[in-house]
Amino acid sequence: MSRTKVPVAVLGGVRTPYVKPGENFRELSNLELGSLVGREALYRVEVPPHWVDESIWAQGEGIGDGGMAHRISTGAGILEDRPAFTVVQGGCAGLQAVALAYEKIASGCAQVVLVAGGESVSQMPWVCHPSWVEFFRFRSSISFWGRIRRWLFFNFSHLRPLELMEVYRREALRLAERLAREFGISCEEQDRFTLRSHRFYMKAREARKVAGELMPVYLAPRFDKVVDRDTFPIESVSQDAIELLRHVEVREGGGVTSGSVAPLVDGACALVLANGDWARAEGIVPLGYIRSYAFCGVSQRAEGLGGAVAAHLSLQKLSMSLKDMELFEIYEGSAALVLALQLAFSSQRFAHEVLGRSQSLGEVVSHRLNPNGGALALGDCRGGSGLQMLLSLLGELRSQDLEWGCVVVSSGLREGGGVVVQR
Amino acid sequence: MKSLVEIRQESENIYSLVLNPMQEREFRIDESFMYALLYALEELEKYPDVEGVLVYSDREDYFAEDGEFRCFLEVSEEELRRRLIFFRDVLRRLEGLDAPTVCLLRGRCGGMALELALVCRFRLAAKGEGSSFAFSQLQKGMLPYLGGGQRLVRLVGLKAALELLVEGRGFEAERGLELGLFDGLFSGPDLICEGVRWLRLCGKRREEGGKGSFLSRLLGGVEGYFLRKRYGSTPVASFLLRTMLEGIRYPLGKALEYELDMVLRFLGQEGVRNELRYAHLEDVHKRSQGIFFPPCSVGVVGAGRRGRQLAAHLAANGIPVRLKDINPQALGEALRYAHLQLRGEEGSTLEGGREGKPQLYLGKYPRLETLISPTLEYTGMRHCEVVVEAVMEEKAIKGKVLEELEKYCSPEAVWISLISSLSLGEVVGGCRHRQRIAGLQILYGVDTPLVELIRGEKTSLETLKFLQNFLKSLKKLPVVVKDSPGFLVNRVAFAYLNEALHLLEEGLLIEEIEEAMRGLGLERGPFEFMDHLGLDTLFYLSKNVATRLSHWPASSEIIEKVYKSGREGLKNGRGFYIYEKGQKRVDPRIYDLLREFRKDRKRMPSSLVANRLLLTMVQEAFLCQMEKVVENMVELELALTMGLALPRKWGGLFQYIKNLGIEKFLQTMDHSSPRGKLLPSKELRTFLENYEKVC
Repeated sequence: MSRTKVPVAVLGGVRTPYVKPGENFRELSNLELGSLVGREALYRVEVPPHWVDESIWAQGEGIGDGGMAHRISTGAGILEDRPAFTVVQGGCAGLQAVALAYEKIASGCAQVVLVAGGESVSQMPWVCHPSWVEFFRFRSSISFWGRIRRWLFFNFSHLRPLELMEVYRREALRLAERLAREFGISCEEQDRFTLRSHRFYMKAREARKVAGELMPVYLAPRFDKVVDRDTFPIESVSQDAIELLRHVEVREGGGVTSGSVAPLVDGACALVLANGDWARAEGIVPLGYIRSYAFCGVSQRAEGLGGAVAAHLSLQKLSMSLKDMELFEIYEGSAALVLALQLAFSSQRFAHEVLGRSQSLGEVVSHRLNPNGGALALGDCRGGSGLQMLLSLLGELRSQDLEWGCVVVSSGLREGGGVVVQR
Repeated sequence: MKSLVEIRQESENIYSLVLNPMQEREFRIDESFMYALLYALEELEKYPDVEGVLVYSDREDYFAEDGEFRCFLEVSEEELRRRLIFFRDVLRRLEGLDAPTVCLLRGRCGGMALELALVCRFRLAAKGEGSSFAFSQLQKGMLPYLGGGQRLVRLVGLKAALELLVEGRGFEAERGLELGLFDGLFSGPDLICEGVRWLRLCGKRREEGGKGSFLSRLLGGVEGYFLRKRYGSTPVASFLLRTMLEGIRYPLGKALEYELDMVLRFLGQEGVRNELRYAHLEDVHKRSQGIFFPPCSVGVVGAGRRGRQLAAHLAANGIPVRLKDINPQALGEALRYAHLQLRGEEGSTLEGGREGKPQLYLGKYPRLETLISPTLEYTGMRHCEVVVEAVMEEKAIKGKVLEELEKYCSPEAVWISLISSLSLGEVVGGCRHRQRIAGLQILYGVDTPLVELIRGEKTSLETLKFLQNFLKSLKKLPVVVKDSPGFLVNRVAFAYLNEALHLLEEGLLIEEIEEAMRGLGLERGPFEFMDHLGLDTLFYLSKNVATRLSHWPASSEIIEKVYKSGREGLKNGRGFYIYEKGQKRVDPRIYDLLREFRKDRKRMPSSLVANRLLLTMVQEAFLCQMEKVVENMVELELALTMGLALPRKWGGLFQYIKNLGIEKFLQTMDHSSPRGKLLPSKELRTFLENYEKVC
């Protein structure tokens, strides 16, 4: 597909370490994470901030006020008169932001766009049950007896505030269980995949692939501590280590363990996208080019498999097929999710029922999948994870000297997104 | 051409006096403005049924600059009196308008702008970030001379008036409202609307004239005693206090007359005139020429002491900094330093306090220290317009870093090398773009306005001009010096301090030497000066600089001994003095430490001590002038006065000697020096004789 002549290049990017919520980054809000990572990304690709025409902030969940994106953009040093906006779309937010930047550049609206995304999971608010709110709200419409009844029959378990982070995690667990049951993925298979993710990440770190995309963060107010490591990846991974996690949250049927669902983390990632012709004229060598993208929604039946559909659609735009892709980066919301997607790609039934095709999409071979590990090892920072996958995929394409790659995200239960990149 | 003051009709029967309708950048309250105001007032008085008058400035960012005091220094006393009376009469006329006047203040309002506002019946001030108010006259060494003192004291009372005037700190609109200085606040861009509304609502209210002045009169005597103790420390403040205490007893008209007399008496003093002239020169030299765009980012290599100070200073001025070092710990320390500097709450962050508690920063803008982005590699340097090399003071390391920088920086960038004792020529020897490199010496600390900009052999004029403007935009006073050993200030200072040490060796006491210099009006004597300079700096100066100047006498061994005993001066609270709990006293153990160097106890008249020290200073300064270390005589005098903390009322070092009497001064020297090196040369004598005042 070439709807447009303008090549959209990813110049480069950087991410903060992914840190367990409530630990080192607990005092860094979205604003600070975004400004830090945005500023560093611009410095790393040697683009002065005043060249940036627009910036996009992606976050998974809608917390923070409307002006957040602009404040992040000024915090990153971008001029105050440049527009900025926020994309909130669960795990798809990062890719959606990239897609929007793609459109802006392809249509000539902007030359350079900063795309940043992330989530301060530590600072996600706690929510309380609506009945608690009702309890304290004395509306005149409630009769006296009504009020008394409300007080008398108040469910005190509702008093416990609920961490929003916990809500998302529960959703992910539920989805993982459902997929595991549906596709018949056993607990051992999931654990094996989790283990693989950790091992691949460690291998990449030893090969110094991770360090290139990571920025050290100095912690205020003392600044004596430098965070330059991701918290979650386990250094010496054995089957036992994963099994240790297994006793938590095992539910009937699914065999999902807390090890095989991606943990939520604090962190952010930023990419700089630009007009490729312009970048080359400026003497900047792009990391790669974005060739096409697609997003889709799916029915209840295909919950969690949106990624496969979106990947198919984005490839269709280029009249390419799955076997042309040399590397895949599939969002590891849970081990079951990736395995289910892998099965769906090669499943005739899926192709027939969901896509209305007679042939299956093709095979995603294991050695082409997530070569540097993924969210299972690293953790998932909602808005930033899509960007981080893109960044690591482009880095891997370069180090393996390959050409085509595809990022697949399926999140928010019934949405999916896919981006095809060429180096 | 438009006049400086314009009359506009805002609505029916409401007019406004618009200041600066041409929206010039430099709009001052001076004589031509007063004439324009007079004509406008004459015009306005002809209009029938004026119900209200608004006074505002057309520019949003500032109201009006203060008039230059310098113009008062060049005219005779008669002329001066005539001018002051004229100013007073014009303002009285504005005050005497039948219709209520409302002054709308927004943007930066200096002392005289506020004085002008005080003449109006009501004052409305703009809220928010853009506006700042300060009575800045006393900071510049001048009394308020538009009747501001008298009017302010009637409006807000003696105590608040003194606080505002003497401390001269900026205050916010809310604070002004609290004190009663402002009658109301407004926000938003449409100030005319606000003014008209105010007139319609409150214009009928007449101000009760002079209420509270009776009380003030009663308490004036008692209060005055205490206030004099608190505020009357400097001569100008005590003058002001006297004027206000006396003036409050009279009706306004007479009080203004009295104030005028006092201002004339004040300006009659030679020291005051010198000081004003000096302040003016400093002001001029700090102002950048033409329009200057600050660099959009600055790279700093090396996060050592100077590097981190500079980075914090730049960040405080809103300039993004890319800070590079090879040591992550140093980077962390630099960020911490910046954090403490920019926050200004050292206690609470260091000693627990709020630390450790998770905080929500959702509503806030990113903190200033995020402007500094640390890095371990040379990334992000390509588009820095200014790159500062602040690594260790060693020739090899500096040279290596500069060579590396050549790879990573754009060739258009301007480079600064921070040096203090090395020679710029040797450091930049291996670089290709030598025309784009200049040296910079930060004296004492990064907050001191005086900096020396070192012009290397190949440094181009363009680079120099750019850096001068850049430094001026950081509120610095750059003095361009030639690449020579010790440059200017350190060289003169070292000669002077070395002489003081020799005096100590000859058997004088530290206290005696200090007393002798303080007797001349210096804020601190040579030993306290050394502590402020840092004994480590002094040690390196004696090692690196003194050996390169052939005419210099051997530097005293005391420096090494004292430095090696672990004293670094003010930095670690121990030097020749001990600094404890904000107090200082001469370290009693210092004499024991230096016993081997000191000869027997000797006495010398303090005038002789002072003269000997002064003469070394003068001689070295003269040599600098001969060698053309500084091209400009004004810059030389400014740098010396600032760098050596000489009293401003001297009007420059050379001028002081001249006023003292050259012959008398030189004669005292005949028998004083044991080494004969101090005998003044013939050139110095002729130079001093022909010297004309510059400051």
